[in-house]
Amino acid sequence: MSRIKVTYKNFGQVIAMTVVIVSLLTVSCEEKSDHPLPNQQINTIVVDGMLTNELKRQEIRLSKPFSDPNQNREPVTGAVVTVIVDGLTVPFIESTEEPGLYQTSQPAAATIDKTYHLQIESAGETYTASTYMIPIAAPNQPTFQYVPDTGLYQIQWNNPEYSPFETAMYEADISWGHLPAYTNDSLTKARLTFYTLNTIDVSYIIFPQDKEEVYFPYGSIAILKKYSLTDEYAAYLRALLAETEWQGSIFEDARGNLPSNISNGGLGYFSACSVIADTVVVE
Amino acid sequence: MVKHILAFCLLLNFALAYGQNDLLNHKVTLHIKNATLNSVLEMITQQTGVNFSYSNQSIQSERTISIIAEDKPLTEVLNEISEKLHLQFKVVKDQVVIKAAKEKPAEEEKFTISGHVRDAETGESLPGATIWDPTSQSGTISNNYGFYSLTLPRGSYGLQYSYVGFEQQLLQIDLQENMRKDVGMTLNAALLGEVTITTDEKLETIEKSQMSKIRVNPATLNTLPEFAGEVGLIKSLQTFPGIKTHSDGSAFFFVRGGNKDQNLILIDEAPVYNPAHLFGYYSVIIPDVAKEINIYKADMPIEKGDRLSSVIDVQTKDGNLHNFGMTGVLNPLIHRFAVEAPIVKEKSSVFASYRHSNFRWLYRLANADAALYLFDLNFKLNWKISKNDRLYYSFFYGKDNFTNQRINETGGIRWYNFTSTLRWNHIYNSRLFSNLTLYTSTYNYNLLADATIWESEINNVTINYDFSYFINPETSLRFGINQTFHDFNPGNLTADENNPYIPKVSGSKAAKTVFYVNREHNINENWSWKIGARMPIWTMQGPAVIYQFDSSYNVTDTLTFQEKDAIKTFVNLDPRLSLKYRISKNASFKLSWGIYHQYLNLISNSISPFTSFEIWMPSGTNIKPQRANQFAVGINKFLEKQKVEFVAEAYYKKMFNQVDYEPHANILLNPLFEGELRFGTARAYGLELSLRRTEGRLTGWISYTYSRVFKKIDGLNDGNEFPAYYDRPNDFSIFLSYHLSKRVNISANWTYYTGSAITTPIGFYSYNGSTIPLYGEKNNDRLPDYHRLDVALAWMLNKPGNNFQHSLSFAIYNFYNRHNPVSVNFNKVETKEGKFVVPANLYGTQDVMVTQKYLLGIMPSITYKFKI
Repeated sequence: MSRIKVTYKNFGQVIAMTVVIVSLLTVSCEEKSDHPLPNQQINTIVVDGMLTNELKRQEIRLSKPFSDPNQNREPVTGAVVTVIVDGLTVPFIESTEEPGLYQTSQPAAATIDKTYHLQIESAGETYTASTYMIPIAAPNQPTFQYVPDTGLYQIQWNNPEYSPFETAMYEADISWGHLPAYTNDSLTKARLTFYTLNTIDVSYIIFPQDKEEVYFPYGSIAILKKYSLTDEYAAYLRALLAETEWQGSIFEDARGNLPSNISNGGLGYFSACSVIADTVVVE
Repeated sequence: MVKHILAFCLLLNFALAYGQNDLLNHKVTLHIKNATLNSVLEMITQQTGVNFSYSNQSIQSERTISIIAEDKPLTEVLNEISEKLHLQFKVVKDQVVIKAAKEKPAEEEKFTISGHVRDAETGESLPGATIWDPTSQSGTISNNYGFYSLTLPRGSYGLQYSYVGFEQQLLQIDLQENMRKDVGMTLNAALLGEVTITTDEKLETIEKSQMSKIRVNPATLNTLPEFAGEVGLIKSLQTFPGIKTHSDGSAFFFVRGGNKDQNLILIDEAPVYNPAHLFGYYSVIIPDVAKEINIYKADMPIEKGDRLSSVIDVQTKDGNLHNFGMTGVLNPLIHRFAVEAPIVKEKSSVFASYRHSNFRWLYRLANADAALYLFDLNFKLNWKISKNDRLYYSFFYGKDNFTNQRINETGGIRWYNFTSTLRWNHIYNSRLFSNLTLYTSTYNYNLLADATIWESEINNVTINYDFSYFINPETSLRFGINQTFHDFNPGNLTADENNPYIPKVSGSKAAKTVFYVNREHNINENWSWKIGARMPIWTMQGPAVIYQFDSSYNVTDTLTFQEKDAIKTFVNLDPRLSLKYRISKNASFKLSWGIYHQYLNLISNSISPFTSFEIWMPSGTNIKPQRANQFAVGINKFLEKQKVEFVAEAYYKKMFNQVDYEPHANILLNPLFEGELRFGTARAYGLELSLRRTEGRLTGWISYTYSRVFKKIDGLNDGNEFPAYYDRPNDFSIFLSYHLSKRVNISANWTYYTGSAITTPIGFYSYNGSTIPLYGEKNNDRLPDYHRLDVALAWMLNKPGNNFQHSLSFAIYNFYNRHNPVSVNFNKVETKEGKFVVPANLYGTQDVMVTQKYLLGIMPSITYKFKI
């Protein structure tokens, strides 16, 4: 057995070619559907909160569910949001500029090995959640690949989809609005994510769906971050991927709601992540 | 007036009865020793005044008798005399008539005629042939090996041997002793080039109480429109009532509300765990290889089972005992060849079939390094050792390979099925037939990336000893014993064993012993019944690591078992009962009830139509055996004049310990995957109607099913019942085949069913830039209704009857290009090129669209076939 070398790297990419071939035969097609959208009012709140070890004004976003995936999000305003750590209560104050965004009044950083308790009072209901932070290993930073047909660049994540050693979320926040040639463009930024999970998911590593191609010009500024994930948060993000990126894939799993850690029927997730960040120029 | 007559009759009856009783109530006192009967009767007359009428000769009145009676009623005394002297008495008017009692008829001497029914041309045994005696209106059916046994009283008979598509054979016999007659049947010349459907009106008469069985003639399947050069068995199942396939291009099917793992597919008795080639586009079962296909939706044969919903029993061809034969099929996507030949004429023969894909031309320009193919090989050898012994050996090997084979960069998917069967048929005597079978099956699936291989496997070795005892034409007995050993690998990475980070999913073993017995009996001309039971004893065995979970699915204990340690044992009893009532010559009413257990579970949370990455797991500590109770009633009516068979069946099925999954369950390479499983019940009911026309230029069938299936799973859908994915209330199918001439046949098949139950969002919410669906009730919505028309034209290129026969067939699958979706999605954006993709930029401003994915549009095919 020792002759067999384990190579986790790019498990899916190795076989991507054959997947293309198989798709020749599976001749599946996707088309626009007139299937009706839901029309139901759901009375709960969505918590989008991630504390990090970065010294900054930590943020928690509160919103309401909506029935049309393209409608504007309706923020939850007037809530009382606090985070308790080591007996210390930290209030999160609602932003005056962006309703539904709650921030610490001063820059603060979460630390590892601590448990954070979230409490939200909104419309007579109380929602709570707890989370903790784990450390993170140094990342393999993504690189940027020139795409000759477009004259632009594309991100190349240099991390595996599957690893039994560590789960992580990678984020690239790329902007090019500062470049003179693009100042008039309507969209001059992109936020891209990539995940390393400790589960083998067919729809992720073997039969991924076609994803939007995002290109950016030479000279773009990219803020690259790697986030630590607890097992629970990794499970949440895996479910999120199942319901977003993997939905409709050829080996799709049965659909279901995400496993939130918010009490009282709240949606979303309250997490705490160690972050390693780097800012680079695309060249 | 009527009332008055009735009253008078009653009164008269009462008076007569009273008069008779009065006569026989006289008291008698006798103390007689060795007196003649004559004198005894005179004494009674003297005491009571009752006169006797008899013939001295008839009752032999000079015989002596001793009798002691003290003031006893006359009736008691006469009874005593009658018993002692074997007489009978009767009151007629005012006297007692005495005569000799009728002798009981002696048992009629009976003898048995037995033998094999074969195809005279090829020597192939014909299972399901009818042997019928029109005089006594009784008969029998040949078993899976063509053996029959019919016991009749001594005498002369003209027996009729029938098999659909063959000329009826008449055999005059003088049955004075047990006799052996092998009967060869010849193809009906009038039907050459035509295809008939296997419905034999006599079958219905002879078959005792079997219901929910569909006999499929492989030749019939070949008249169905093809898909890409093949008519797969699985695809054709869709046209039968009560059977629902998953969707286009899928090998999954659901029978009477049962899940996809509840169907047992047997090739020469050995189970096939994955009947799919190319993820489901092709079926491993080729009609041309099969001699006989039987589908059981309930009332499963007692010797086969341990699946809840169906048994598909495929018997492969034995091979021609007389002459060499060859067939071939050529299509742009697939080709296959089959040969059969005698090894020793009349004694032994061989059959072999090979099929391989022709995909290379499709992909070689795009990827020259890819190796994309499927193939399968069927082989069978049979040998008549003696008059009473016959040996068969057969195997099936089917493989799919979708890999990239660059140097230092190999990756892809492979799977294979292997079954092997060795059978010994032995005839102990004209009434006792046995079949000793040793078979093995393996299903192996692997995903490879360079040296890293994820592999799952299930295999079994089984020995089965089965006996059929034909007690008489009214009664037969089936009994036997089955011993199986299973080995499971639920999916593991092959890697350096020293690496502690690789999760290891524990494999396990299992042993199953089954005792079974079944009795079929004709109660009288109209009533027959069948009663039986299976007793499976299932033991999950080590070596294995078993995790125990609490009610929140957290691990509470880890148990390590060594080789052959018994981990968990289940002993169950599966009784079965069925009843048939012949309403008329061609119509019958049937009823069946049975309990079924299943110990193998297919673990997969995927709603995909394609087979892949499923793992088989045994019942054990965390997975209880699945159980079903099924009750079914039905009516069969054969309309002789129209040659149409009508079948209506209704069923109710309750299933327990049904496996489902935690949302987003992590199944692959997860040692704790049993903690992701959820269990509950399911209930299914339905009404199935079908009409089949069996003869003539126009043949075919129409079937309609109304059915529902609901699940209730702990921890899912708030514990409320929800429709299963395959809950499709309305299912309609029509297949017609018409012979334009002896050489040209056209056929069409139209299928419609209600869309499958799916879960769609009741809202959305935003998290970290992603739009996430929010669900309410599970399977709250439905896919659009499914319908599809397939057409085909088969053109025989030679005159019927030629030694060399060849034909061309043109088929169009999904003739009107219906887009039948397999999923509705709420997560795509449209690119400039009009392609639907998953959004990647979380700052993106494009609208998310509702899209649907379908698999197959219009698909024409052309196939050349030949036969030597």
